[in-house]
Amino acid sequence: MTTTTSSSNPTNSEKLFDRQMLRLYVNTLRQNILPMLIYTVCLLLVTVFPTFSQGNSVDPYDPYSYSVSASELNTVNYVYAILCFIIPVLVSTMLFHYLHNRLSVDFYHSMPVSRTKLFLSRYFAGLTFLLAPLALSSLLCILCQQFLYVPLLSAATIWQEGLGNLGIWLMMYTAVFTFSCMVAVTSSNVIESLVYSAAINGAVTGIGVIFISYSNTLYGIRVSADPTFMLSPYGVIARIIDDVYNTRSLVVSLVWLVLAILGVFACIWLYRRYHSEWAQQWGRQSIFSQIMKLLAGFLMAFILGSSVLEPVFDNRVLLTIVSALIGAPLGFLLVEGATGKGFSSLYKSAKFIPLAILVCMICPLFLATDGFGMVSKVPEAKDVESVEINHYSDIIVYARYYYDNGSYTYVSARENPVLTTPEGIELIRQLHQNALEEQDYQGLKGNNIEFTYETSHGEITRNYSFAESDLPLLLELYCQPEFLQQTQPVFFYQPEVLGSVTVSDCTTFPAGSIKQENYAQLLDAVRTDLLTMTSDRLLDYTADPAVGYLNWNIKQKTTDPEIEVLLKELPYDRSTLVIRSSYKTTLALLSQWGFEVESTEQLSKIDSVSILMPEYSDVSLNLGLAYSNEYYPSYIKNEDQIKWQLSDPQQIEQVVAAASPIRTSVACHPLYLNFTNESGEEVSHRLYIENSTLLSILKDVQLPYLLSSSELNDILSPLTESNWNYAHWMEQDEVFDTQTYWSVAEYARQNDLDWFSGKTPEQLNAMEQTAFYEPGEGFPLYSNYASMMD
Amino acid sequence: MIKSEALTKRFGQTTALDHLSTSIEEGCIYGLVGSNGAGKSTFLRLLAGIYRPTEGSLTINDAPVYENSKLKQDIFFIPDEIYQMPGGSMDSMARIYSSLYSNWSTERYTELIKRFPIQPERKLSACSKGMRRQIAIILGLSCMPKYLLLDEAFDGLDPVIRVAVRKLIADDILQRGTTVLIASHNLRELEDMCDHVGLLHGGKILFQRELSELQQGFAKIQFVAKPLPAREEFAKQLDIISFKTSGSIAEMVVRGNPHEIQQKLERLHPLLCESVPLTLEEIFITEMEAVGYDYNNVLF
Repeated sequence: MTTTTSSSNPTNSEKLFDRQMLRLYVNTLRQNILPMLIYTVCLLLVTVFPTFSQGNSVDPYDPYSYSVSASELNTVNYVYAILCFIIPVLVSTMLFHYLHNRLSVDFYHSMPVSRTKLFLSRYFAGLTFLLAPLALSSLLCILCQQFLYVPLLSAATIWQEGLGNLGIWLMMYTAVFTFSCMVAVTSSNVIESLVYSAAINGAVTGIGVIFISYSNTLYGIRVSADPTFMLSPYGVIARIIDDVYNTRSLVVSLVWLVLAILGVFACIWLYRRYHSEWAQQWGRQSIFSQIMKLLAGFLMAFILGSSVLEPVFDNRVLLTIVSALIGAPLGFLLVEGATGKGFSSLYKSAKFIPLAILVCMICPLFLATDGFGMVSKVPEAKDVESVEINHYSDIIVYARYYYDNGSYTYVSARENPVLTTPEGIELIRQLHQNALEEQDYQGLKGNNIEFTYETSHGEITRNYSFAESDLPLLLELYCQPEFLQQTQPVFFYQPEVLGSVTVSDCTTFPAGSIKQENYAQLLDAVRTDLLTMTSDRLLDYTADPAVGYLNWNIKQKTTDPEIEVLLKELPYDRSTLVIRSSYKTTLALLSQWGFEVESTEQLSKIDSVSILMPEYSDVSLNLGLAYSNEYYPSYIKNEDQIKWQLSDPQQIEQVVAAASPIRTSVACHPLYLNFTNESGEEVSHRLYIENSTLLSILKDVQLPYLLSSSELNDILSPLTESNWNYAHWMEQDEVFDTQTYWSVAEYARQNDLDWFSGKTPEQLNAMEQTAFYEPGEGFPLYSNYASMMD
Repeated sequence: MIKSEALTKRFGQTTALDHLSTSIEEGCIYGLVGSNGAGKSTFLRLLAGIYRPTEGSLTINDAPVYENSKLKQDIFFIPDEIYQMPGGSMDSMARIYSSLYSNWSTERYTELIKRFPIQPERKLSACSKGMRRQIAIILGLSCMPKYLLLDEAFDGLDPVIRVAVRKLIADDILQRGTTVLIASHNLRELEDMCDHVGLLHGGKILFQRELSELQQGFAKIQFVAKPLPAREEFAKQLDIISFKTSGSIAEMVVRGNPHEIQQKLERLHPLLCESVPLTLEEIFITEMEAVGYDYNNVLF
């Protein structure tokens, strides 16, 4: 007995690409020409005209009035991206809509055409509908840009960027369309086709993002969602939308194009297994539909858990359990109702609801077991090949811009050193272990550091706040030679890129410029001295004071192509290196060249010193050996600033002598040395001074008390509660208003806090005088603090 | 020759055709009759290559039909409900068919258009049910198929067009040896057209034979006698299917050769004994009653 389930019949062999196929293709185009013309016209309206308008506002012959980069040209990418989510799905549903109606499926499947040919003719028609308008729109936009932007941008750049974008969109549209066809040739009705097409194009990324979201709620865990975006076409589109044309996008798009080509064969295979009697069925139970319902349940559980139910439950495990119990059946039933046109077939699929709940229970289990033990895992030293560190601190300000082809481009600083030495790796492991013991789930206690181990088993990334008690370890880390060499600007400067190097004395006043022929020697000396820095001296400006400054300025433009390359690769812009007294080599060299940096002659040029309250950014711990901030008078002349002015030369001298160029703790005031420079401008240099030191120097000046890091720790928890919303900016006359507010001392007494031990009389006095807390309202003084250390 | 062997088609839990084995000769007009849900339309759709058999085989000249585009060039299926292609007209449909069927005859199409009162450019959506059926028949005949499958062929056609269509089909058979399969509940019409009949019930063929042979197998007898013999007396000699009496008159349906039946009854010395052949409808009802599918079981 033979069956006709196989279509491998010798009499069935036919030429695939023949006149019949062409006629089918043309007929399909003809049948659907009207909607596609409407789509094309709309696409051109929303892409070409805005491109023209944008370009029309540019004067291409005046590069200083408007700057634009090549990537900025293609704002139409947002339009293409949004349409890529929607249009291919609609087109696939439209072209295979005949499978959703019994009459039409009878008509088409009774025709003397193989299913392969029937599919391919419609598939290619769909590609024509999608890609032709896209190409036309892109080309017209490129032509507009060429007409409007040259010579601000070269024609080659415009075409390269435009065609590059077009290539990527062509591939992504093809991918989304192909996978949508895969669904369309297996679905029984329009709803199934639309819903499942969207799901198949984004489900993997969606699931991945959900799992990563859950993972990132675990203590210290930082998993990048970036890779998951590459796992589905929708994910790729969402990821590349801001910067379409680059190497990574090109590679990823090519991969998806290859998958789409393979997908075509899958489509044919699936279509040949499509049963005509499936047409117009609602609620057809297939393994695919059940998987979709499970995914919907999973997604709904996540949505409920991260929105509606999230404020109700403090316990994350309980939250995910309740979310699963409610969300899983809800999502399941939503898809069941939509694709089944009701719940008439629910009795067949209801048995999968417990399975959906069970699948969602993976989440609470994951959280309850701390990511199946992931949280507490510290890799063994022998398994670690290197560790990359990302410390969110002032290192970020070492960024620069460079001028390239009509625009300035931002180059981010090299802020992620990679340690490979056993000592460095061990320091990180110790910090890691300390963080696990600290259990600072809310991340309140200290600097935020992220590190990524590179192990033989893969990468492990963790992100923790470190407590004040970890400061010694952090200092030791920052003094690792590997760390210094990968973070300090002087290790990246080369003599060729330096525009000028000036010397300032210990009072920050200019002492002269270094000759160009001495740059190399100076760099060697400085690097040698920096590598001698030790953790005990890094923040101790008493033991190792600042005796001068080296100001490194970078060339902004050059005609030398080799130097241009060096400038582009240089991660840092200008910076100011603090010369410490321990930098013997550097000091000897400077002395040899006639620079007496330790002189205080220029002190008399300081007109006044402004003492300010620390702001949010000032609370950040800075463990750098250099800085690059420059401030102007307009900043400190702001009337809203709480400040104290010193004009007594003796006080100025004492304060400057005790100040440091970089804040050494959270209880530091910014100081601004105000003077008139050689050009007659009023400028300021910024230094920092410990609050305790300032109080001991300026005994006759009423100054506030600043909380230490441990004291900030004590109040951070209340700060994160609702009364944080009532914190407000202090006015000058409120700083010492202990009639309205509790003083710092009163707050400590009321809350039984030991803030009085080890304090100087000046500090204790300041604690009694400084307004701090309004009962029932919040902390006005410390509204600028978000955490002890940034 | 169309041949099926243990052909089975299931839709979920429902078995539409259950190991159906039959063969249909070339050049005949085959009437497929059966109760509602017997599997007639399913069989036609299997033959048209729309459905795939669950089990068994269905071949035409030993070639399977499903996904056999070369074989399907010779098959044209007209369903009970005609598909309206959005925005389509008879001319646009003709363009599609002409591009797909290698045997398409434009001359035939043009000739048929003249015979039927249909405007070829008129939109299908503006046509009545009967007009759409006429269009389907015109297009189907223009494809010059060897196998014409009609599901409720004449549904919606007016009497004049019915006659015209019947004549066209008959001409086609004569001139080209077309094999026609018609599934219909209009047994009177089938009786006029078909030369072979197959009765489907519950997914199986109850019987299948030439119509004349079928009609020769039954007789409706009107027997008058005084006194009228009891049914048992008749049953001794005859295979009685149904028996009714009214006074001295007995009406019975008997299986067997009418002439032989007449001879047997003459021995009972009736006052009157007349035999008439059963119509197809009467045969259908009779056979259905035999398998328990009769109107007495329908509740009113």
